[in-house]
Amino acid sequence: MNDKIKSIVLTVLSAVMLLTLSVWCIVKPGPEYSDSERRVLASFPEITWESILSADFMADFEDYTVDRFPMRDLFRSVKALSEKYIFAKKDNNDIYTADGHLSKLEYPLSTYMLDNASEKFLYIYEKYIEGTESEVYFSIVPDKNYFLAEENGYLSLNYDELVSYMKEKMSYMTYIDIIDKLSADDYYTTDTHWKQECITDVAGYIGECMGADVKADYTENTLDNPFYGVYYGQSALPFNADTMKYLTSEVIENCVVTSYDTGKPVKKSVYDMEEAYGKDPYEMFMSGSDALVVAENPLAETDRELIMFRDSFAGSLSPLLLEGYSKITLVDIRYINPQMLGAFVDFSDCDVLFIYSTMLLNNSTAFR
Amino acid sequence: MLFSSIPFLYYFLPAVLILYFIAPKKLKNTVILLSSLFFYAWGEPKYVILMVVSIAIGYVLGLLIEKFRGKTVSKVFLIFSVIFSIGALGYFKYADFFISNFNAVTGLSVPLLRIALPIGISFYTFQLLSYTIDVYRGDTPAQKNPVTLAAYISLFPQLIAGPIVRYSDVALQLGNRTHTFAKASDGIRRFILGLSKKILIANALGELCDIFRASEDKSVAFFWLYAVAFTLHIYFDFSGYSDMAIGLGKIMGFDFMENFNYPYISKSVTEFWRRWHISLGSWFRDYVYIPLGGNRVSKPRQFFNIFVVWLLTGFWHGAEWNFPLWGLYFAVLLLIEKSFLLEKLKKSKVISHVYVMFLVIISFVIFNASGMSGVISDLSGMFGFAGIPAVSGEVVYYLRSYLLVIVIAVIGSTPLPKKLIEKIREKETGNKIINIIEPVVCILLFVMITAYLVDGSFNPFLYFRF
Repeated sequence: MNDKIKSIVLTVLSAVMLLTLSVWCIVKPGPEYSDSERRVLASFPEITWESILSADFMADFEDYTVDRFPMRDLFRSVKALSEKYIFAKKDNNDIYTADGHLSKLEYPLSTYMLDNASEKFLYIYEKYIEGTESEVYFSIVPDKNYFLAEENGYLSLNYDELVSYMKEKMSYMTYIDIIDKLSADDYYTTDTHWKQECITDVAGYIGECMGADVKADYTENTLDNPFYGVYYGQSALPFNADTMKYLTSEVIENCVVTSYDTGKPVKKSVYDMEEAYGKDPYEMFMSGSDALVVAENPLAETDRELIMFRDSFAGSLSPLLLEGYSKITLVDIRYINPQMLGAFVDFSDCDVLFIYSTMLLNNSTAFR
Repeated sequence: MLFSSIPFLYYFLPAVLILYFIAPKKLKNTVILLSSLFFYAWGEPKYVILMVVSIAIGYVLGLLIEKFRGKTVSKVFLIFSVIFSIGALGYFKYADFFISNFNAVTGLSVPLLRIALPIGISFYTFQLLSYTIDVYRGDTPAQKNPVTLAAYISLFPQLIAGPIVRYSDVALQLGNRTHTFAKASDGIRRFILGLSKKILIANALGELCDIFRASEDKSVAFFWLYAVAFTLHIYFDFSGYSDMAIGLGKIMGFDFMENFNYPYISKSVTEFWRRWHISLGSWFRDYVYIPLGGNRVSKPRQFFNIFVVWLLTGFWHGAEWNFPLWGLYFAVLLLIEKSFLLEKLKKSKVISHVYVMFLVIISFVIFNASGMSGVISDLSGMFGFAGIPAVSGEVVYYLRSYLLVIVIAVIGSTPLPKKLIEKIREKETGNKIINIIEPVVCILLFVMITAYLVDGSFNPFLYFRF
């Protein structure tokens, strides 16, 4: 190819690419919702004199053009692959791959966040539990960075410090240490959460520590759709899907679940099969991230009740505790103000378990 | 509007290029003017009026200066032009700086004006000044066509971050320029190269600098990693922008001056400043240093001239005390070299290069510090006076993560890649191979750039997933 032809080829190729994508942007922008990022993408901004003079329109328009760029996910994959294989970056948008897992950097440890979390827990304890007959426990779920980050050369929280800090702050509760019962294999490879079928021993141990016999014979069920966890979409890297399994037993199948997410009771089931085939299959466990969920066990041989202050990890754990309780109440204080709890929950004589992942404890501004 | 944005690349640029190339020759400058005003108004809707007024005043004064050339009144118009331009720059850029310093010295509390800095004012003000001064000196005739002058001042490729194009350099091209595939493809290649430097390298290094600033685990090594990263970042950011401007100019038939010439291969600070931000250095040389007497004066006066030029160069970059300090730092280094060091530096290429890079890295730490307290804190961190460990876990991680980007940036800041391509091109087969590879690489880079821009709004909703 001589210089003249090269000049023509480069000019024409560039013009074709620029014009094609430009027309595509205008004629057929991308979808309004991103499944991979699990968020609503920006819409075309409203044009007003005020928005133009303040340059707000321009800023919003830029968000719109970027969010709704054609083949957005494909371009995000190109970027992720470039970061990983061309520039040898250790992570892309804080997401990294190690030992066949996708994970997200969680660093550094924030004592401010731990203080904030422990103050919320203390408030709940002093307002509702102190002086009652109830027994109070707390447990910490390590995120999978605990098993992956440090040994693969990634920045890692000081988990020992986190645990000892929280234990000291929450010395009025009995700590249940489940960390040594877990390994990286107990977590989905593309998601942040643990697999329900891998935590029966964790459930058994927690039950044992609380004096409840929660052991049962479970049937393992497998969802027939692939599970692409939250890190899959965020990483934008090619990765095999996980298989989602859930455990059933006679108790679980007969359990009556009521969600008070909107204030009014709504009947649900332990495993929401509509969610299982929705955008986030992990939401199938105990109504996902609903603020207040009550699971009643009509086959219970005890009248013991459990209140769990929890995040999403407890969604898949709580069904495995049902065997030992007549009623389990799940409270998510990210979505319900603790001041209102007295109207819905009776704390007088029950077990109370605060169980939170390290990720939420270290980002506790999510609490109300 | 930024070149490195989707609205520019996929909305503004295609529309402007189509309009530009279908417009008849006599309307091309009008297309440039209108698109440049739109480009400017996109980011600064209110300040576009300031720019239009500045251009109008520059246009009228240019004509008056020429009409009365040789008479005292011509000088009066020139002085008015300088006062207006410097006054506008002073008001918008330095008013709050002077008020806060006045308050600090007197103990008064004169309220700050809190004026937003109009984008590109430092660049277009200098272009206007060069125009009226050149007309006054008789170096160039005044532009009779207001559209042409306005197109020159507002020319969007170099409006925001230079290079500072002198009117005399492009006067002929404003009236008559040629458009060829060869020039267009040169421009496209240069534009994509600049965009790649900005988005793939400079942004990554900027990200590393941001990580350093936010870190709670700083160490001496991290300070040095930051210093090196920022030194490379500012070069790739700024020279990348200049490449884009020069490339866009070529596509539209202009030939702008080069603004960078591999400054990091310099063997002296004097040489560094011949290679770094050339258009600014030559502007200060021609419009400040030489009028002050330049080299043709006594030694003390020459030293004084150098200090004035570098004090102004520092201030031009920003309204914080670290900027004049940065300028004076170079003034001292240049004087030392001028006095005795320059000859000694010629003895060892390695030592002179290490010397230059060490001083340049320090200079950019001063440049990027947050005021004078930031200068002290950053330099203390670098030289182990901040009571922090030598190495931390974070610096090891980020060094490993950004090592390849840094290596690419170091190699890319030298003429090695260019020389390698030229070597291959010497043989006919090599030339053919490069000609095949070049368009492919350019398109691949363009795809990567788009990918990085699209991912820029990556914003997962993770809250409920914890």
